[in-house]
Amino acid sequence: MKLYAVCCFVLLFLAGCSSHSVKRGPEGLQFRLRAKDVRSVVLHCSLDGYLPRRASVEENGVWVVTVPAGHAFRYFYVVDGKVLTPDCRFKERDDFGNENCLYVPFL
Amino acid sequence: MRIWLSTVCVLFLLVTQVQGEDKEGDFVLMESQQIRASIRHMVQAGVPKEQALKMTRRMIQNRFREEQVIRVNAKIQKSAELGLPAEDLVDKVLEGTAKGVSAQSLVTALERVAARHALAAKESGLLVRERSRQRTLTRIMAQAFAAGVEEEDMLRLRNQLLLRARNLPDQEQEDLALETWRLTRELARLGVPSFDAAIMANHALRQRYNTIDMIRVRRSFLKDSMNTPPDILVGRYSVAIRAGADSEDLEKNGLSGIGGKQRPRSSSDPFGGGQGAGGSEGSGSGHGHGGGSRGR
Repeated sequence: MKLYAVCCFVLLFLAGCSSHSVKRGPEGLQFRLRAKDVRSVVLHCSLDGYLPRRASVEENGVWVVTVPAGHAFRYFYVVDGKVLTPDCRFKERDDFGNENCLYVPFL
Repeated sequence: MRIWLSTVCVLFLLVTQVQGEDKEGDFVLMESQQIRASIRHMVQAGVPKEQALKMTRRMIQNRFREEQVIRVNAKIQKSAELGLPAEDLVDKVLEGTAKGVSAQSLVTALERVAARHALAAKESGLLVRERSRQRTLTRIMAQAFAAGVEEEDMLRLRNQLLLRARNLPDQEQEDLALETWRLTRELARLGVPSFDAAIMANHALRQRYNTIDMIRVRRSFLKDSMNTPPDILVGRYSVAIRAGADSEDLEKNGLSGIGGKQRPRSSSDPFGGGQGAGGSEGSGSGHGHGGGSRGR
């Protein structure tokens, strides 16, 4: 039982380290990534040819960046210079040995 | 009045000239004659000039050497000449440069994208005749491959679609092919293994699901997958579809809501369409594909 509780705690802790969510807001889609103790978070998406969109940090290490809603697109983060594909619902292979997340608007 | 009009004309000419110079300036930025020539060749092959410039500029910004830029550009040119969608290839270059990959990785990735599109184009030509729909199906299939659908499973689906097509008018055949592949692509994107996704779509085709049914099943699956892991859900859906679940019920109530209502089946079903038909994958297809479980 103790082991189970410890495992749960570790899993929750790890999930808290870099959890990701997308919310639809009045200004577009708000991408939120919880990433503590990092210096920069940049979102790249296929909407604009993967130009870097710098995220701003809020309280509790949540990084936020807004992109226009409407079309489906691929996206990934670059956290402190390293590519990060967060846990997301729709994915595809990126042909570079990793994956991309997909945003599908009507879902 | 004349002076005012002349001023407007002169200003207009100046502005358009400056814009023109800016566009030419992009070429000037790339000092290498060979790089400029490779851009021209890409444009001649059908790659939009803006896109060709954009991706070349990104590679230069990423400190790719001249020969590497030329190699990537030549790859895109070749693919565009073969009729493959330049947009997707340019997109891959932009993605790769954003990820900071090496020129070699970029070329390998472009080869993969081109191979997927070539296979998808060949296969979509077998299922759809109308040009714009063929392009749509090619893109959907290529996206499904990118999401993990494997060639063997694609063949399984293709054969079942061709069997179904025998009894359908052209328009319905093409719509059915498009929706079957949309369903398969979404399943793969959700992380459903290729084999399981193809099996589910295959069961739907065997049970004579039509275009609307396929759309309903896709919507229903997407909804249900919010609460149940897709790789578990796919097995349940396959069983329900094989047992003749009504797609309208599925869409309205999800998998848990399907009651006694079953799909009406024709006695002339050429796909072994009785209750429980398809107990072994591929039975009745006559094409020799899908002989049971692949044991993945």
